[in-house]
Amino acid sequence: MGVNKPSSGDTITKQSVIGMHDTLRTNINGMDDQFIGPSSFGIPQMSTSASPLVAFDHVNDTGTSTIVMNTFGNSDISTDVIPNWQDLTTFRLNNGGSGFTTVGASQYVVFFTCRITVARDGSANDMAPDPQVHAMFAITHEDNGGTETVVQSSIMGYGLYGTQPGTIDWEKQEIPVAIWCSFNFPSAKIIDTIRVYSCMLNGTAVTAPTDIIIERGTSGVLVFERV
Amino acid sequence: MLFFPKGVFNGEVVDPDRLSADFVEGNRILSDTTHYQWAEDTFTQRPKLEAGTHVNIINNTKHVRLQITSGQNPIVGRGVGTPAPDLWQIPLDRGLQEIGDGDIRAEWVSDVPELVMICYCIQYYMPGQATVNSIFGGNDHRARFQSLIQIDGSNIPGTGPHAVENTISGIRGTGFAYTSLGVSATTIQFLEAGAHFATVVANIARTDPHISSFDVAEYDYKIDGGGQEFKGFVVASRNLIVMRFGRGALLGG
Repeated sequence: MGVNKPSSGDTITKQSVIGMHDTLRTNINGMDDQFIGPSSFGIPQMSTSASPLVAFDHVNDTGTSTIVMNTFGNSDISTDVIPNWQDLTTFRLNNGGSGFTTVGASQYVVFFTCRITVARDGSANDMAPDPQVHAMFAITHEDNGGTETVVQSSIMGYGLYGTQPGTIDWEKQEIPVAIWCSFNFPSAKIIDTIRVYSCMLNGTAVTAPTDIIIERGTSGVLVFERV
Repeated sequence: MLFFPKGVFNGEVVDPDRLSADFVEGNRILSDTTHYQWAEDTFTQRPKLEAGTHVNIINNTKHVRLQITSGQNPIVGRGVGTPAPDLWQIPLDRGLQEIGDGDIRAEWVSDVPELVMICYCIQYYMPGQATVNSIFGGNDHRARFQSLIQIDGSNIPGTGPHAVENTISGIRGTGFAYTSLGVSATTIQFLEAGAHFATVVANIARTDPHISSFDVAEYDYKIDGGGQEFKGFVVASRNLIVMRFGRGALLGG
């Protein structure tokens, strides 16, 4: 809204000054996005605390020590994960022990990657497993009340490679594991830990390995608030 | 632009035009504020920001079990057992089709240009090499799974196990040929303001006798009209996550 101003040579009246004051007051008190010019805001105006990304945590396993996953689960159902699968503690996310706190509705995006290098027999020799053996992975989150929940859609299976099970043929696996999942909370929440679980499921395989070796990997989480 | 009101000096004859300039100039600056008018750390409190203006996240998920156990192979509509109802049977040799018939497709409308990060994670399974051999005959065939992210109808190269054959016998390496895989890929794209959609497409690519093809180029299409013979090549659980970061004037919006 433009200011109506008296012209040069006019008599300044009380009303003309009040009118200009009123226009300016109305505009100042009713500012919306129409009053903001292009490229107005930069880093100085946006405090970090105002970012919708309120937390980020990640773990990189460089492969200096391999992870031996030797747990056999019962099923790919979510209720089997926490009691019967192996917690890959290397990939836990807990924000340096502080957990993840959100004061309003929030959305989490979690990713996990790793590499299954080989499957081994009971003598720790590399072996070719039956391809019906699945290496399973799942992601869970535990709140500050101790309630741990499986993200169902994160349960993914990777059939091991082996054209001649039980032999050394095709013994290298080199399977890339990559899982993305997302979950949300409608109100304030504190999540203490995000975990990655794994197990093997045999199916009808005749020859199963004793363990699989996991080398290198990354887990990470992005926590957005009020999205 | 900063605002410096001139005011009226003592003893000065007041010119209406000059007096009003203070109001006009103040109003002009107010109508088009820049970072000069907004103090450092102006936006310190998240609740004062409108929800969803910075990052919008769409998470479309379908949890579908393979029903694999310690004594039972996945139940996928081939052989014993009742498969999970939302298991998606992949058409064979039909090209890239939208998985789940679009049940994880994300659609949105944006008023501003956006930087969009799209990732997916899907469970692929096929019932073993012996099944592939029985369908095609012999033991040299491979069922090659392919998948890609599709944005606004365009398949994004590199977002999954997929490659275009570069020779008539160059089928090897154009897809994933083993039993099962949790397939995942990510892409980041700039999208203009407007209506958009993102989804995941998949295919079981045509096979060839991959050993003999070194010597003899040979196509081997196998059309399964009833969809019975090829049952069991499936996508189970599937996720599509879209993170949209508004970019305002960056692209002229």
